[in-house]
Amino acid sequence: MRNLALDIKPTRSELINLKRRIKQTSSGYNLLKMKRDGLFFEFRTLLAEMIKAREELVGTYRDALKSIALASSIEGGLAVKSAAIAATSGPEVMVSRRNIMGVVVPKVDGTNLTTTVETRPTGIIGGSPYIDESADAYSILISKIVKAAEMEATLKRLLEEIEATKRRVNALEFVVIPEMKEAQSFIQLRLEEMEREETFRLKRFKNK
Amino acid sequence: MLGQASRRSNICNASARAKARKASLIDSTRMRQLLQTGPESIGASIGELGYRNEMDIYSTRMSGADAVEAALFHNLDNDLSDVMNFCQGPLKSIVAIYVDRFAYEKAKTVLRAVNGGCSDELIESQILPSENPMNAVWLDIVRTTETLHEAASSMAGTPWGKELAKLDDSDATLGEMEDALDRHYYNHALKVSKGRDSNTHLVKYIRTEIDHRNIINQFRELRQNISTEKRLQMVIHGGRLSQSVMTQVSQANSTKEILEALRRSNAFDETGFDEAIEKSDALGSLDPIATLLSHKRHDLLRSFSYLNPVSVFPVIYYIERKVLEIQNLRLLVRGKTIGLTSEVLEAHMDF
Repeated sequence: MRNLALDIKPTRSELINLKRRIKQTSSGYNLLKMKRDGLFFEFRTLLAEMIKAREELVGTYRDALKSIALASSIEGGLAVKSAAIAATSGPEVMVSRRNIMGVVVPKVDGTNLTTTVETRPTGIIGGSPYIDESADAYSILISKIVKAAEMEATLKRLLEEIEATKRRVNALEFVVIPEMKEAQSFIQLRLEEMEREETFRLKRFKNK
Repeated sequence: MLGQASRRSNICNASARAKARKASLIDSTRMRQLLQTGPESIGASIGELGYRNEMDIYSTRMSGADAVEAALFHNLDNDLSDVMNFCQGPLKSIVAIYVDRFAYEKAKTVLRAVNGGCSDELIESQILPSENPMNAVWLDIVRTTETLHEAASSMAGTPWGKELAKLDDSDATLGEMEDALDRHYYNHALKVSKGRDSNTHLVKYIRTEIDHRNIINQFRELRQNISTEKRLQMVIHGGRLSQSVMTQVSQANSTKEILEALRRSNAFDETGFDEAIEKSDALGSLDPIATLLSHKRHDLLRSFSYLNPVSVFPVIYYIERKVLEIQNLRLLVRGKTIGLTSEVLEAHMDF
């Protein structure tokens, strides 16, 4: 604990300043607590969505593997590769920013993530249903991967911010505000003591 | 493979040679034994069944299922070339229908490679292996052309060259060229099959193939929510199903509606379709329908080969059985490597 007698001037103006600072700090503490609680709520909501998205992603990945296994076996690895080389452009991903309760988190958008038989460069008439299904499955997988990546990065960022906010809240609650209140008590005690001394001195002077 | 026809067909000689070759194909018993073979030894087993030479060519550079598949298709190209060499006259043109379909697929691969800007090394090493001399002409096109239209122009001497030339304007896309190739294949096949040495069963078989291609395409297009107009445009003409039936099929909004529309035609064999559609809807895959159509085609060809022992059919039947053998072996190798069960593999094989 700091040596309050050395750091604090026991004056009325100091007491007034200190009271004002305590009020401001308490207000900031309450706001930070609300921010912490809000961030935690957002985190829990997103975590539940993320868990569900991860389970779906694993399922989608298994489906995609199965479909390409069947396409490679029935149509042949050469036919699958032949269909793959026709693509002139691949999926593109753009990362921008958005704000959740003052926390900057990534927003991931993609173009060309999913394709259909009409948008793929190969012809329709001679196409294979197995290769179609395989391409569709991987299109869905890519979309889900992008979505999951955004969620994971957002969760990570929220968690970092929750930790930082929690530390600040704890610092205010257990260190800063108690110290300020202690200083306030000290000043009040000293002022009362000084007042008593003054009163006694005046009494003695009067009696003389 | 794309040779000129001389004046007379040697149907008797060619049929006899085709039957002799067919006797050396892997029978259903041996194929079922291969089905039970483990993935480690299936490659060696295939080598013992007549594919050793080709497997030795590819084993230096490739391994596993890729090497086996490349070897199988190299063997197929050699075999088909031999068959074309022993056919003469209009018979050769008819047999070419079944041999040239692989050339059409290679043409599409070349167009895709050029369109996608794929490296020559990737094409040579993985898709059209340079070890196969039949791929030389295709690799040459990949190496010497930069744009889709240059590649299409390089195919000027082929049966489909004129068809591609009609599309030779700056707006034709890869998809349009591929669709044009597929339409040309079927139109050409019908035209040749109706020419000299024509056979009503052969015409029926080709028209059935067209119907099956149209049917599976309608199911594919329905799944992909393609518009009715586009679905009607994609119909290949010349099948046994009439234009009015195909118009109704292209307007159907569900798999059951497609089946109802198809039932209106006497030319449609609906056996097994109810079950296949139910399985397809449950699985979310067209696999049951595609498998059913494939089995039906093979059954039809088998029945025709027995009805017409001295005709073009034994030669075509041999080619289709050889292709089927290659497809079955490829299915076994790839399927076992990937871990598909024996039940799944057997369901997709034809014996």
